[in-house]
Amino acid sequence: MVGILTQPAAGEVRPDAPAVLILNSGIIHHIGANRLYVEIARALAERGFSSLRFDFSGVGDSEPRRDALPFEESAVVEAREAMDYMADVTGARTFVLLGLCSGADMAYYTALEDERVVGLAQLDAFVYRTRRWYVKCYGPKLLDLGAWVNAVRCRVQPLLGKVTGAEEDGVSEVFVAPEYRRVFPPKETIETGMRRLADRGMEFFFTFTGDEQNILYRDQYEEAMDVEFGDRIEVRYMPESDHTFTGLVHQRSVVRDITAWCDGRWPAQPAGRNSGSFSSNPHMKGGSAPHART
Amino acid sequence: MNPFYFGDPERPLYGVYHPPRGTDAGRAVLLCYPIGAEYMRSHRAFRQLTSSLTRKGMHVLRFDYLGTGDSAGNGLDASLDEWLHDITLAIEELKDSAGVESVAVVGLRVGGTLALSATAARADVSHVVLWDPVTDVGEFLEGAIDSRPDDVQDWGLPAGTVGLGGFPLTPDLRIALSALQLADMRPDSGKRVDLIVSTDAPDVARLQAAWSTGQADVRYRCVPSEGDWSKGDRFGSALIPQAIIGGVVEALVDGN
Repeated sequence: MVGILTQPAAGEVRPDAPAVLILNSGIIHHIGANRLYVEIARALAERGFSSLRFDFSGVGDSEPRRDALPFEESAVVEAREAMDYMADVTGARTFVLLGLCSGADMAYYTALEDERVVGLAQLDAFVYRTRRWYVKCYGPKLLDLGAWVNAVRCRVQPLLGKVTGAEEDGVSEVFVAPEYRRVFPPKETIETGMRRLADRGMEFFFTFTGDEQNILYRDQYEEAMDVEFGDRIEVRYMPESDHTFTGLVHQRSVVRDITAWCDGRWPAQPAGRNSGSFSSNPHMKGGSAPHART
Repeated sequence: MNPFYFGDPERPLYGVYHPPRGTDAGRAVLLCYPIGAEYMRSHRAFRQLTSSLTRKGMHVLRFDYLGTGDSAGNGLDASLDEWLHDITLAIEELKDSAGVESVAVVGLRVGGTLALSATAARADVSHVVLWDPVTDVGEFLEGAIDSRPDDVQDWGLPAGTVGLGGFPLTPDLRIALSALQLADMRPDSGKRVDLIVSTDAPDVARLQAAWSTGQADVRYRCVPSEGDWSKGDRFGSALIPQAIIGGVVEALVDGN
């Protein structure tokens, strides 16, 4: 597996802060959609947080697995291996898992399996409709023919982690991406899992975009979920943004929100502030040592 | 595969060096990515191309320009001069890693335009493959700009910065890139240039005639392939046009 470790400048690390593990969104490699993960990692380093952006097997720069483990299982195994690696290299004892879409899904599943995870930052996570969602979606539009077309589209779930249509013909036998068909589990299943995480004291951060058609207002996530989040949840709703944060301003907004959330939930010790520099290094597991000249 | 940083330690470039698999053919190939959303769409295609080339015994280096991918800086640090310099740095790095005196360069879309601009007069670049090249970068940019936010200055971006498939394009970079036209370039004598396109492109075909009046060995080939680099979706789908990837590999093997 290949990843990029971004660390604060020497002496500026927050020793007790969690390290941040950033998970692929679909087949987008470890820079993230529109380089969002690079910007997040560097902004976090300026705040004293180490982070690792790595590619799951078969994605980006990582080689495919040689076993037949389904992606949903291999991703959890690999995310936990990445945490082991970060613990060895940075000394981190706890972790925040961050991901967009399928990355958000894998962050959730990994958090359920690993008690070192103390924070979950999900972009366009599993979210469920409420009565108010139906009112907002259909209420004003019942007589509008165009709205019926849109309503049908509302039922279509985006698929990620899959090369589409004719493009799939081009996937070679020597380099095949893992497949993940994103299907939302029953709400009760996710509620049960989120309750377990909340009971562990997990900190939660969510951002939803306008492309996530199962959400139509900011408070919907908490309304939909029968989970006692207490004050350990922050939810952002960006209806004007698309799923991959193509807008330059939307990118900057989500970077700001995530770094502010980490900063607020794991504040710096009084003597530990930093001046905002960082270093990045490529790291590989299971291969030769990085060839670094800088 | 060996990921590493190279170049100026103050603003290092990210590269991934792939040694040959099996017998070393003694040849090395530098891959130059496109820009903007096309960079995102092409990452897997470049991995596929890399895999095919290393199986032919070639050394391959792919890398990110300053302010793109995993390289240092952000879109505001990018400039045309820096990117052309990055290509020359990558050529030296590849020659050093592979132990060769000359290299071939493959550039996809604007990556091809940049590659030829940086290497047209270099004697240590024996072969340039322009894959679905962008002949007029200014025209390309006009069609590829996806957002023109009016509040960029509130977010620390220079006035006039626009979105190029989700990546910031500053006014200075836009002006510099817009001046790039393949027709203005002229590969030096002794160089082989392959123009490989996935749909017939008269503007690219005309380059063959124009450049063949010199001493360069210029070839044009259409390898019909699926997909259009300029047409992505909002979910990060990749494009892996296997047929034209095969065409690029054939050109490089033939150029031996």
